[in-house]
Amino acid sequence: MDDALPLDQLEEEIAVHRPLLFKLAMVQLQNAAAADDVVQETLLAALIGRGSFRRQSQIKTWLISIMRHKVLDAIRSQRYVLAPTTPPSDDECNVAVFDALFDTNGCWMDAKDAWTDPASSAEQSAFLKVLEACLTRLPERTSRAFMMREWLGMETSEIQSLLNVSPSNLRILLYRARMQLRLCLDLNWGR
Amino acid sequence: MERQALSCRDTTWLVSDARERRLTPEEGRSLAEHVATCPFCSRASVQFEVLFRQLEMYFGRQDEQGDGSKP
Repeated sequence: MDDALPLDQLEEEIAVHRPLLFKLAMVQLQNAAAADDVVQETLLAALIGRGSFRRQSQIKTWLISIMRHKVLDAIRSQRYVLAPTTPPSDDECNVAVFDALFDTNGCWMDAKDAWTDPASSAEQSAFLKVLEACLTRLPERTSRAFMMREWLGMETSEIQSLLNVSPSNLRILLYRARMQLRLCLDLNWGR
Repeated sequence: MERQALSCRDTTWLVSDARERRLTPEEGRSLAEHVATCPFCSRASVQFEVLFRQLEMYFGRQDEQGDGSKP
């Protein structure tokens, strides 16, 4: 507890991340009032539970992990009327965009650079900044499906029914998200 | 039985699928064999590993274990 940030400093630092939290909540809930509530609950929970914040982790990451439970709860409680999901567009399910990466035999065209985990904490936050930028560039439904899986940790069956997509379309959405993130990092971090 | 060799493109599907389900022993073997002999895929698979680890870092999920919800 000695290590806890002073309340006013924490309030200030937390407020900085409000827009990002709102954006993350909106992708999932598609309802501004619901997203606002969830962000509000998250910030309150952070202030109340500030003793559990460890300084070596980033405030942003800590907030995102608190909000994870709030978003799951909002989705599952059916407290809110969530906008019905339109199925992903053909474009979002089109894996041909990655054709350029492979030759006709399905082999990589381009020599890959090996990048490794960031070594220092400065490098770590630089990496996460690039990763965050790459995440925000994912198409909307791709992002929603991907974040349901990798952030919220939902099972694929739950995601399929929430998003009204077939197992094979979900598989494609998740594949596209991962391929796109790898490519984005390769272009913006790897070289 | 002669196995169909994997292409690099096939391996990217398996790497992605493995986040959702356990690969079959057959798939796991083909993937490992391909990655071991293909320098491109060996680097790409390291990139994916870094990506997945860093995503967990970003989402603050790297300390979680066995709650059944982690991909």
